[in-house]
Amino acid sequence: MLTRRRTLSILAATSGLLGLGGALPHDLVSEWRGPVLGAEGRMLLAGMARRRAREAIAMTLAEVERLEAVFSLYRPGSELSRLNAAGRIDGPSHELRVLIGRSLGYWRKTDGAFNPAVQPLWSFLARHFAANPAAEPDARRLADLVRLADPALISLGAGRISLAPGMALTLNGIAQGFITDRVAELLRGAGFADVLVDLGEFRALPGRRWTIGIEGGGGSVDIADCGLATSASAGTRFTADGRWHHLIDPQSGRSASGFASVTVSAASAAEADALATAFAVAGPSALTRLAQRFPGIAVKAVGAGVTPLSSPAA
Amino acid sequence: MGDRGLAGRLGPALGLMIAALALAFAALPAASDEAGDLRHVAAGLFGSPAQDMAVSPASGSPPAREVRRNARLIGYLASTAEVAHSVGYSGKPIDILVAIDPEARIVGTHLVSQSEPILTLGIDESDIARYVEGFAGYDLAKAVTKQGGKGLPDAISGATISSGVIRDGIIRTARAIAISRGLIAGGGERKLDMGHFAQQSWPQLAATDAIAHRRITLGDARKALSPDLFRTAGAPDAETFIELYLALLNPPSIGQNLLGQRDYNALMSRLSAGDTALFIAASGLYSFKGTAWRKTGRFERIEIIQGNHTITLDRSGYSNVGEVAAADAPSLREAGRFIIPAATSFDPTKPFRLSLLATSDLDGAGLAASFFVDYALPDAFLTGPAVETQAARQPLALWQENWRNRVPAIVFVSLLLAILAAVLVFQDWLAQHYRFYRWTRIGFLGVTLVVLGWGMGAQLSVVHVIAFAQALRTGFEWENFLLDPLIFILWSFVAIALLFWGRGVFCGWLCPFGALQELVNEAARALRIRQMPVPFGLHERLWPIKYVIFLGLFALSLQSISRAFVMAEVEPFKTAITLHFWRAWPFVAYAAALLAAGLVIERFYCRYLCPLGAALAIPARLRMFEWLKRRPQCGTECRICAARCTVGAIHPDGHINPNECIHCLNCQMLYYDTTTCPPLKARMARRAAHHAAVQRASEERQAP
Repeated sequence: MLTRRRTLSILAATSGLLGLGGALPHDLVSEWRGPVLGAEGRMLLAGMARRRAREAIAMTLAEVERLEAVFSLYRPGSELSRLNAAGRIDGPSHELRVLIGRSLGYWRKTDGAFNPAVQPLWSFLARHFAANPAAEPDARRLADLVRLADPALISLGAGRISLAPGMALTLNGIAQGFITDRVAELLRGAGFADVLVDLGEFRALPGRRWTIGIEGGGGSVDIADCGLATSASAGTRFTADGRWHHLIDPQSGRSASGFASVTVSAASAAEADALATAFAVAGPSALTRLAQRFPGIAVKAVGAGVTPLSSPAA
Repeated sequence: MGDRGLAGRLGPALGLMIAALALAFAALPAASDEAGDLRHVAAGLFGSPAQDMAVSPASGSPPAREVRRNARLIGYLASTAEVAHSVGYSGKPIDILVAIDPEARIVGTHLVSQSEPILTLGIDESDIARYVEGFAGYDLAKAVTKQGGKGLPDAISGATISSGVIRDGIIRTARAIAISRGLIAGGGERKLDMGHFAQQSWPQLAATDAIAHRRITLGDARKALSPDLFRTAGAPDAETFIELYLALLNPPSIGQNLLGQRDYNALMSRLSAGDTALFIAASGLYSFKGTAWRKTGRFERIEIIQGNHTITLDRSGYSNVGEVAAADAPSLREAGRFIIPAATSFDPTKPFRLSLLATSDLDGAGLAASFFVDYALPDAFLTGPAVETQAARQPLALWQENWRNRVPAIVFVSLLLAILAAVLVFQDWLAQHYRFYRWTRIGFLGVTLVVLGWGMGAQLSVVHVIAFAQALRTGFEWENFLLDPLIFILWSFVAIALLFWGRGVFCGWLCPFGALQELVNEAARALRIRQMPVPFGLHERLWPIKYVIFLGLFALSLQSISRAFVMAEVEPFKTAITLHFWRAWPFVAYAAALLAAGLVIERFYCRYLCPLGAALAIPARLRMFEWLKRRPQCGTECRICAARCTVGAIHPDGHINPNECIHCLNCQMLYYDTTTCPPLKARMARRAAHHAAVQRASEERQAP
């Protein structure tokens, strides 16, 4: 189980309010703390009367809860878990349909670096290293699972999604970004203009510019009206030496080794999330080629021995 | 008596006072109760061992912490500060944790923090605890109204207002949690207005948001899906991809207008209790129905989202709407009505969203995107008996209730103030009627002390000044100051009187402790206790003490208002007036020491220590009237007034210091007293002599 130690936070203010600084009347600032997405969360809403702010908080939490019940792999009853267990699902929710469709799009556009079908590889490696942390995994078994990690085997039909036998999907490389975007849009709909949502990935609305520090020595970046995501190999390590970790190259079945971390800013947090995962997997040799296909993004990669570089758009 | 001797005697008196004060503070209880481990609080309130208990973080709206014993939900913990936003007399939150069980009973309460001046000190901690605990067992389901709150504990004696705030906070918090968690039916729950019909056209319904609508252009859809969308049809970006309309059909003013009477009646007869019917219609290139539903029975392109629920729509609740009955409806490509069964727990009175799924190709593979139409039923369609009973039952705001419950006291205080105003207006006439005025004053002071002070607890205090200043800085709300009607009326009067005559109106007439000191001193004189004259030089140098105390309290309040309230115990008012000397002995000793000093130096406390007097003296410089009369000889030929002044407010040069004057009118009586005032006496003597001379002369003339 992934555990995040960081506090996830959502900051939102109505337009023009930030100029007031600390002079804001206290009844126009509402704060909430509690669990969100399995981590400690905090929401700070400014500029709205308490009652409406509480409604906005309740609405946000309800939406996150609803989307978790679609995408979470840690909940056996989630839609995605049910799809993986049964191999098919009739009448999927719009969100599951949308996100699998987008994942397939990124899979094609990143030459397979972003792959939602790596879940069987992931669970095999996680189980293997939990049992024998020192032993290399069986190469034949890996090769079998690599063949299964083929999104072309996903069938998206009218009102039904089905998978090939043995297949399983993970949306962990994009769902968090998707939820981040959704929360930001909900808060915009509720009347907030200056919004920064940090649910593991970041999303800022057009209101203002925010400075975000990148974990693992990546410095900081300014974002406005865009999403930002970081993929770091140190996120979840299978082995102590860091050679095996959660960023799995679907073509080899092994953990990617090119970068320590890749940070991407893109129009949405979902896209930033997916591309950060894809670039981290694809490695330095493919980065420039792939990044050129996504106009408007910016990339900051921190290499294991590779100098930081930027995409043409940065 | 020599100066040195007096200073020598005054020194120990002051020393004693300071010692008593220090003792009083040493006897204070520890500041505020720490929040403590919630689990242990919960264990205590729910009466279970702490190791079996789990308390979740506050969540939901209104926020509450779920309490579980061995994973089973046994109740909720909610904070009055978070839920009811209880604000006490101090303008600071009163935070009490209220424990509610699933049967909607208050199982217990726990005081976390409060900074009520009256409760900060003085009231026995156990009295507060006993009061707060007295709410345990209160059944919210049976006593839904506040008026029906039988079996609730009485107020803490001497702290009626704060008790009221506590009570109000606890009951409102418990009710809000019980209603929101579905433990009791909410008086505030709103229902669809099913009884009211008004003929309305489509544009009228759309204008009030009874019909929600959203237009998605082909450009929007191409951006989200694929630039090739409908490219073969040659459609431009500005063309409508889909224009969606969404309405709730249950209220007749919407449903009957849209469907027509016959279809609406048919629909209503089909609905079971709790079912909701929606109208969904669209025009444009894209169909929200699609065709797959004919095979699968499900409308996969549309979903209803409310809170964390997603509700799918299927053929069983669907029926095509051929023609919209409402006038001036737009031309629609497709329209349907959909029944959402009660089992989905969909609540038509709460906002919801329609999600529309669009795909880049018609077979449903490839990219997909969703678009939303938000819907919130306008208030006009929410009414019915539920709302009316709620309005009837709507408890008055706490301050309104306080005013209504204290009408006799309010009338009494108003009369008293009217009499005082008359005294001030007719002060010249009164001062000329020595005996009448003297008894009026003693009577008035007696009423101030016994009725206003001891009886009604209406003692103004420097605490109010601090709370007021604090409120001006942090957000002023009338409600907090209206909580106690008597204090509010008195302050209003004092504020006006301050501008007319200065601080004396309050200090000399309306301050119960002032009255107590003066009456005690009056008695001392009657018992021939010798008064201790304070030489003016020393007297004048002792005046600033009270200003220093006030400014100190004020400065402290900027840092910590509750600490300022504790330090405001310099005032013996709470001990002597509000609590009738029924208090821990150091406080009583301090108040008694002040009164003892007052036996030999009249109004000792007023003269040198009172921070409230100091606070009032500062704005009193603005006063408009100078009605206290003086003679040119005052201070040069005669200093009788200065010697007789209650508080020594008359300088040796004869002028009256308005910062010190308590407006007792002693000097005015002397002004008119032909037997005491030397210039007046001299004039009378001259007049008498003249008169005698005239008389003598006329007698002589008449003599033969």
